[in-house]
Amino acid sequence: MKTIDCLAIANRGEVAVRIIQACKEMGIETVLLHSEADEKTLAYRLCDKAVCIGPSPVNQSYLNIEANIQGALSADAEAIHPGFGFLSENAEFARACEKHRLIFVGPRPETIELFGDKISAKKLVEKVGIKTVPGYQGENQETEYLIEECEKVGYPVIVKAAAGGGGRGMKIVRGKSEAFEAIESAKREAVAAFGSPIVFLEKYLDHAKHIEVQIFGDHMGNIYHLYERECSVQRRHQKVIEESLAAKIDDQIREQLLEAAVKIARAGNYRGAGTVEFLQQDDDFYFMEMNTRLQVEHPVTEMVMGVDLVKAQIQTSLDRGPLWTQGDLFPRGHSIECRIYAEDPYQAGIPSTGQVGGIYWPQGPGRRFDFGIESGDEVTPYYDSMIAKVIVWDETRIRAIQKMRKTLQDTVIFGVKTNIPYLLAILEHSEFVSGEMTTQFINKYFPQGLKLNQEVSLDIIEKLKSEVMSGGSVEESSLKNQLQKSPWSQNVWSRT
Amino acid sequence: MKRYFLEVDGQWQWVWAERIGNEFWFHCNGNTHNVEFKSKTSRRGGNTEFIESGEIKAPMPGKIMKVLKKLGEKVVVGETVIVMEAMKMEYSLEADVTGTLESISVSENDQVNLGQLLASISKEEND
Repeated sequence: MKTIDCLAIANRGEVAVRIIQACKEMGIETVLLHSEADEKTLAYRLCDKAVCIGPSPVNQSYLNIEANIQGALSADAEAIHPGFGFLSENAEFARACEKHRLIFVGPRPETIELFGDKISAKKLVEKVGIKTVPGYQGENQETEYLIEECEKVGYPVIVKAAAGGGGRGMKIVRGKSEAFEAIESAKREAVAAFGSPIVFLEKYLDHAKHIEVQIFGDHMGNIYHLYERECSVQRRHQKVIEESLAAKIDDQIREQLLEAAVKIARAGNYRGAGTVEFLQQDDDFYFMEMNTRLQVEHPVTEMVMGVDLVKAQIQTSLDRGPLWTQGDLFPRGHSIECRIYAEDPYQAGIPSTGQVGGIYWPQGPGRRFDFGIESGDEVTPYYDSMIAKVIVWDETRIRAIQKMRKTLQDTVIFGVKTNIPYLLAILEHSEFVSGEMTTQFINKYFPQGLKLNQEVSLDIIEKLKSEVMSGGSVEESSLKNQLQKSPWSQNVWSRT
Repeated sequence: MKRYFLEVDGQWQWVWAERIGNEFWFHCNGNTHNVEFKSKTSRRGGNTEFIESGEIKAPMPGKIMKVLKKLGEKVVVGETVIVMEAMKMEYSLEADVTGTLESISVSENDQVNLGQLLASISKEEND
């Protein structure tokens, strides 16, 4: 029987912490493969062993296949978990792991390749009878020809990098006059980001919802679905708020979506955790892409389904199974996740870096905080600015929204600015609350982030200045007050 | 980071606060704010105090109501240079040094951001 005594983590931040926690519970030792910039992080403090695999820039460390493999081998690891981002969807990396007899916690390299190439993925999906967004995905990549194809598809059209993901190399063309420049620009971005200029065209759906299905394949070939998530709140194709189940979806369409996702996973002989992304508009839904990894937003599924996807991934890589029976997998309540980015919401979201000061996570029932930094740690400009995720669960969607609002209001992060005010504004918006939001939501209502409208009482600044400066005696008196009034005495329960 | 229970504008509330370098961070009513100030360590001990910067910055976002001094005019410590309005309250921004008004970057009715430089005073060099 396969076993893992020691698992290497080829990632950083909150997801590295997430994996370490799962391993600790399973009695597996962890090795953190980290860059020079990441010694002052929570993952570094929690792991059993740490190996520095290179300098801070990602291409010299987290994206360096050889350095990751050598790091894992040097620490006697038997497996590598790639997390998300970085090398998690890199077939070459999965293959290199196999070659060095390291277990890659993820799908087989062929599967990653099949779904990683958006064109081959679309072909497979169409073969099993699932609709994809109308478009062009041919070999003729001449700009003039692509413009002709745009005309056929009908505007608006979105140009996407074939090797892409995460919003880069994507351009929306609203009419013929913009087509040439947009296609050229998409090609340039595609080369810069993914090393390949190949693009494809898709009809741009302007009032669609982003619905994705969590699927899972165990080592015996059983494919499970763990219901859907909705991630319509996106900024520049990057998700900001996710939830499970979908905010508002027709039961019949849900059934069709779940069935379609399972079909696609089965056709790809899928193993491990994966996500099938769809765009749903009116009564139609279209396959967008399959992500062959753990998703950032996996916690909302864990909350409503009562599963641990990271442990399930590790068990699957050890050939343990079957993991569940589909009939036992049933969702309960509603879960929402907010991604906390270190950025200035009042300056169109420019990243905020520097040393983190005090942090306070307001713990409570149905609240979960996935984070990778602690007080005193540094937010560096080298990596994605997502520093934490706040996840809540409650019995209904409206209660979950109320819980999220209160949780974010009580969350304290000093030293770097965060998007919490931005998240709160979204959570207050009537279209979000109604569940009607589409992928256009942020473009429509918050295109420039927030306007500066913080209201600060001068009284408080004056009082605090003297208290913080004077120290000593004030602290004692406030401690006494803390005992008298804990935040739990505040009413956090919903009105509905 | 410490937590204080303070009476603010007549209401008792919890306030988290911390000084980080030149910035003063606090969290109350569901919002986090940071205000910049300048400090120096006195030679006598470790006490910090507000340094005389000669700069007048907006302590909070708001609207300029009055600019009381003209460019090149002499000002003395404690004299009001600018009156701004924020949260329906007027706030007098005073000179923290004695000297000459060197620059004014705002005029009446301007909206200003937190920390924005409004005016600067070149300090009179005498004992």
